[in-house]
Amino acid sequence: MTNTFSQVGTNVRKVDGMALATGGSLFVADLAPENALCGMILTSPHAHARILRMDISKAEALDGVFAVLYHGNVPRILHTTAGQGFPEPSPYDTVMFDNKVRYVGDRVAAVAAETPEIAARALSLIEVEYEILEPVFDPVKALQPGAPVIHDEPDAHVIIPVAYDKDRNLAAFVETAVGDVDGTLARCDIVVSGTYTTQYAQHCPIEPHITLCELDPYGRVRITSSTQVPWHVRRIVAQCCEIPVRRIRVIKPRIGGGFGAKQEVLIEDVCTMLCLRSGQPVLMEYSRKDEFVSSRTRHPSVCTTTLGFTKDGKIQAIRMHMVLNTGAYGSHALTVGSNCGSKVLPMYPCEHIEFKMEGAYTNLPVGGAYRGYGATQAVFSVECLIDEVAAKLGRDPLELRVQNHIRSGMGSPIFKALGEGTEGVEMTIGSCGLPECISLGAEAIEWKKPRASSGRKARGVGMAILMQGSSIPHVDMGAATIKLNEDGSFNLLMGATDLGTGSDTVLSQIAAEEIGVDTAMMIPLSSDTDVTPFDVGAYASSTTYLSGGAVKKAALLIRHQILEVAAEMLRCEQDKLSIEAGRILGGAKVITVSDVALHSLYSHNQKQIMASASHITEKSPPPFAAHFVDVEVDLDTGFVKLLKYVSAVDCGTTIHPKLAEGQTEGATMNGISFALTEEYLFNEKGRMLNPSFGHYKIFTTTDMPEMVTIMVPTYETTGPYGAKSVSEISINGALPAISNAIFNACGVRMMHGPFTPERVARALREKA
Amino acid sequence: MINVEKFIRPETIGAAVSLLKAPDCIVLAGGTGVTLSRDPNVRTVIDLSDLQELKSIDITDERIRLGAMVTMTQLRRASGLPAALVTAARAIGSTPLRNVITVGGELARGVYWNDLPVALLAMDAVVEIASEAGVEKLPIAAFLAEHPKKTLAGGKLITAVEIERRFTHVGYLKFARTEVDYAICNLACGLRVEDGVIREARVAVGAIVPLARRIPEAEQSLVGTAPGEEAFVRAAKALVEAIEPRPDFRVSREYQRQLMESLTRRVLEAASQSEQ
Amino acid sequence: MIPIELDINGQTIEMEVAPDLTLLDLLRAVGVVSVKKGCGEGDCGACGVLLDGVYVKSCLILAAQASGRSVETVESLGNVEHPHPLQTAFVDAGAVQCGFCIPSMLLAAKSLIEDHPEPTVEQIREGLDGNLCRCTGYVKQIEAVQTAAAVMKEEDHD
Repeated sequence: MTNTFSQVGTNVRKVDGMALATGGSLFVADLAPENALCGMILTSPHAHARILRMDISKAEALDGVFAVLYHGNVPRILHTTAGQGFPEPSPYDTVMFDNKVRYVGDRVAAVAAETPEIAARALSLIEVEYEILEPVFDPVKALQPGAPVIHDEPDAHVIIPVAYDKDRNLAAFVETAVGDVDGTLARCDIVVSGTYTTQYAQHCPIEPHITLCELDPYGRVRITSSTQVPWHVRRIVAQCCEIPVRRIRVIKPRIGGGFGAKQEVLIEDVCTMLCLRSGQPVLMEYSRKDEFVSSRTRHPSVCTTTLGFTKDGKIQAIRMHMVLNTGAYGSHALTVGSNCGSKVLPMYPCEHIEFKMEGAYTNLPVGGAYRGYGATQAVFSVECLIDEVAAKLGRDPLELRVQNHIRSGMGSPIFKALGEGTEGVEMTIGSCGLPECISLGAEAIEWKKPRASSGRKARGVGMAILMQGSSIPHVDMGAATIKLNEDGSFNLLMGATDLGTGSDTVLSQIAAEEIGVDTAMMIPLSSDTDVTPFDVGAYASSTTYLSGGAVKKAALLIRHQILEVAAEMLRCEQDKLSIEAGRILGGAKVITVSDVALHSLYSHNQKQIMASASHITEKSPPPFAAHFVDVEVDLDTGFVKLLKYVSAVDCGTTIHPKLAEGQTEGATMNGISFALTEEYLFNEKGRMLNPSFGHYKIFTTTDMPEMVTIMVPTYETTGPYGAKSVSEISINGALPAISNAIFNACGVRMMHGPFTPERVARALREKA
Repeated sequence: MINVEKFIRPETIGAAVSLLKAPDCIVLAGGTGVTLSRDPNVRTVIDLSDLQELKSIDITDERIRLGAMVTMTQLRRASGLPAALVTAARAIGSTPLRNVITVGGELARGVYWNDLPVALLAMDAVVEIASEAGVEKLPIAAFLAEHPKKTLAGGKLITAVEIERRFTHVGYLKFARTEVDYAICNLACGLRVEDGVIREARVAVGAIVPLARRIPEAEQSLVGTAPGEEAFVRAAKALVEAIEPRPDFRVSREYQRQLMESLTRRVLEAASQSEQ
Repeated sequence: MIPIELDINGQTIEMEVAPDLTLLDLLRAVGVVSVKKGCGEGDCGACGVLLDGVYVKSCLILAAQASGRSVETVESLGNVEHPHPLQTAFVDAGAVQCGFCIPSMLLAAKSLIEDHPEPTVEQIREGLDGNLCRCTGYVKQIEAVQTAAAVMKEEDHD
C-alpha cells in the first residue's frame, strides 16, 4: 500500500531539539528554587533484617533539619511502586518505611535539611538497631521450602485475582498450556533443551531519579519529577500520603532518560511527605550509586527452554520455564514475567506450547520495568536453541527461521492466553516485514560470506529474530486535547510522556497530518496532570500506537470543526472542502486555517475550535526485527569484539524516520553492552560492589562496532498512519545474536549473560 | 577536601617544596585523583598549575624529558616519543581525563590501575624529584619500591621524568573490559637487541599487582636468548610464577594468571616487531 | 573561604568559595545549568566544559583550581536564534534525544574539531569517548560531528 503523507514519514526538526542543544531546556535539578531543602534517604546496610528500635531524636534536633521520617511516623499504606494502571497487577508489598529491611539499599528513613551536608549528617545521627536475618539471594533457592521468608508481614497482598504466595517467596506466577507438549516431544526427531540465565542490569539513564516537591499557596502539592508515569505518580502519592488526588499536580519537565527505570513511583512519595511535614520545597536526587542500588533493575532470569522439531525442520513444541528474580519487592514481576511468554513464544507458531513463570522474592535489588520487559530475558534461550536445532539438522540457521517464523495473517494461542495480569487479547498478525528484515539484514552483514579466522582470533556471524508489542490492548488509555489559535497554530495538549524519545514531535506530526497543516504549527505541551488530559505514560511501547491514536482522533474532530466553520464562511457544503498545508481548498476562494480561527474566535457564532479524544487499543501489533552480528573472539583472552552489527526493523510506518532509527540504535547499543559487559557484582552479604560507571561498564564511542540500521516499512492498518512501535524491540537482539556468533566462531555456547572475557575464556578451556 | 582550609598556588618550585613539608597538604596536578577525596586530614591544597617549568617536553635522539605537569594529551601530541609511551598515555581514561592527567600525577598516585608507570618502568625512566635539599634523580624502579606517598613524604615534588633511548624494542599493552576502564592487567616491555640476541630486558606489570613493578624473573629468562616464541613463552611462564595476583573483585585469580601468560607473550611479540 | 575570579562565557565573576566546591557546583550555583550532574564522580561526562579551551570534566575540577581561568559552556556556543553549526548538525541529524548529555558533548565536539578540522571517524570516536549517552547509541552523534566539521571548514574559508 503506497501512502504519501506530507508530515508523517518526514524528518521534521525535533520540536525540542534546539532548546536542548542550546542548554535552555530545564530538567528537574534546574527548576529547584534556591530555598529547596535537600531530601535524603538512609538505606539499609543489611540484606535482610528486622528493625528493632529506631531513635530519630538526634537527627531531628540537628540545626537545619526540617523533617525526619521513618516507619514510626508515617502511615503504613501497602501499595506497589509499579507505574501501572489501577488496579495494578503487581503485589501491594511496599510501604513508605517499614520496620523490616529486605535488601542492601532498602529504605530505612529520610530527612529534609537545608544542605546536602546537613542531610548526610542527620542521617548519620539516626540510630537503628537491627536484628539480622538470614538472607536468600538465589531465586530458585528462594522458592524452595525452608527458605527465609522475605515478606512475612501479614498485610502484603495482591489486589487482582492472581497467584501470590509470599510464604513461599512467590511474588508472581503464571502458567498456560496448549496441546500436548510431552507427547509431542516424545515423537520429535530433534529435541533441544537448555537453561539460560541473564544477569542484573540497570537502565543507566544519564540523569538519575530526581523529584522536586513544592506547596503552592492553596495547599496543593506540585510534584515536578523525572518520571515516565505522571498520572500513576499522582494516584499512588495520594494513596501513600493520604491526601486526595485533587491536591496534587504532577509535572514532567525535560527528563534525562528513563528506559523503564522511571516507570515507577520511586521517591515521589517520600519527597511529598517531607514537603508536607516541613512545609518547604524539597528536592530529592538520587546519586549514581543510589540509581544502581536503590532504584530498579532488569529482573535476572533463569530460563529452561525445550524445543521439539521434526527432521524436515518444522517446529512442533515449545516448553519454557522462566524463573525471574524479582528482588526484594514484586514491582512488575507478574507483567514482565507474562511478557516473557507473550512477546517470544508466538514467534514460532506451533500447536503444543507450555509456559510457566515464577517470580521469586530475594534479598537483592528490585527488578522493575526495563525496555524489553521480559522479552529480553526470554528470547535468549529460544534464539540460541533455534541455532542448536539448525546445527543438528545441518541447516542454515537463517533458513530454519525463515521456515518457521510467524507471518501476516497468522495468530498464536499465546496472545489470548497471556495478558498482563488479566487475560490477553486474541490477535492475528497484520503487518509483518520480518521476511524482508531477515533478507536485507543478511545482505548487510554478508551472511553467506565465509569468515576467515586468523591466528588466535576466531571470526563468526550470528543472528536473532525478534518481536515485541505495541501498547497493552483494552488496559491502557491515552488522551489528547487540541485547540486552535488565531494564526492557525494549535496547542496540542497530551498526556503522553516524552522522555527524550521524541513523542512530542511524532505526535505533533500525526496531528498535523490529520488536520492538514505543517508540523511547525503544532505547539505541544505534555505531561502536566492539571492541564493535559490523562495518559498512562511512556511504557509498553505505547506512545506512537496508543497516544498517537488519541491525537489522531482529536485532530480529526478539529479538522471537522474547521471545515464546518469554513463551510459557513464560504457558504458551501462542508464535504466539498479539504485542508492542505493550512489552506482550505474546494470553495469559491481559498482561505486559511488562520482565517477560520479569527472568524470563529471573534466574528460570528463565536467558539473556541477545540476537541478532546481518548483512545484505547484493540490489539498489540508486534514490530519485528532481525539482528545480525559479526564477531571476532580472542581465543587467548576470551575478549569478544563486535565488528559489525545490523539491526533491521519493521515498525510499520516510521512517522519520523530518524527518530525511529535513533530508538533502534540506542536500544541496540544498550543490548550490546548488556550482552558483553554489564553486570552487578555482589559480595557474599548481598552488597553491590560496582555501583558506579567506573566499574559497571556501558559502551562508549570507542567500544561501538560499525552499526547498520535498516528500517523496513510496512503498513499496520490499526495504527496511526500505519505505525506500530519501535522503542523496545531492538534491545533484545544482541544477547542471542552474539551468543550465536560466538558459537559460529569457535564452537562454544554462551548461555549465561554477560559474555565477559573471563566467561568466554573459561568456556573455551572447558571445550578443549 | 572536606577539611581543606587553604588553597595555594606557588609560583616557584622552591615555594612549592617548602609548602609540601607540611604533612597535611596535598598536591593538585590535574586533580582527577584528588578532587573527590574525603580524607579529613588534608588541610592545604598545593595547586601546581602556575609552575611553567614543569610543563616542558624536550625530545632528542638520545633522551626524552617530560615535565611533571605535562598532560597525557600533550604527551600524545609530541612527536618522536617511543610508541609504547604514547600507547600507554592513550590507554588512560577518556579524552577529558587525558586532557588533565599529568605525568607526575600518574607516578605519584600509586593506585593499581595506573598505566604510565608500567611503560616507564620498561624504559628505565628516571624520576627527577625536587626538595629543599636540592634535586635528586631516582631510577623509577627505586621510586616505586615503596608506595609513592612514602617516597615523596616530607616536602618532595616530582619535577620531571627522563628516559634514555636504550631499548631497541618497546611495547605496551592494556587489558580491560571496555576502552575506558581501569586496567585488569597492563604490561610493558623493553628489549635491547643486538646481533639478534636480547642483551637487556625489562618486563613490567601493573593492575595485577598493587603497585606497578618489574618482574626480574621474566627479564632474566629473556637475556641471552633470541627474540621469538620460545623465549616469550618461557618469559611469560616465569612472570606468572613470580606473581601472586592481588584480589580483584572483577576477575578470578585463575583468569588473572591466564591473562598474564598470554598477554606477556603478546606484548613481547608486539615489541619485537616494532623497531624504535 | 577562598576568593576566586573566573571568566564564565565572557563574564567575569568574583566570589568566595569553599575549598572543596567543584567547578560543576559553582557553575550551577551561578545559574549555568546547562552543565549537568549525571554522576558527580568523573565517569559520565555530562558535566564537561571548556577550561581555557581544554575539554575537561567540571566535577573533577575544584572551583578554586579554575580561578584566573576562563570557562566556556554551551550557552556561549550559540542560541536558538543563532545556533552554532554543531548545534544545528546535532539537531538535524537526530542526535538529540533526551538531551541530558548533549551540552557537554557539543563542547567535546567543538574541542575535537579544533584539533582535527577534518576528523576521521576514529578521531571523532576518541574525542567523544568521555561522554556517555544511553539514548542514541552514538551513531547519529558521530554523523553530526562529521557534518558540522564540514560546515565549519566551509565557513572558515568564507
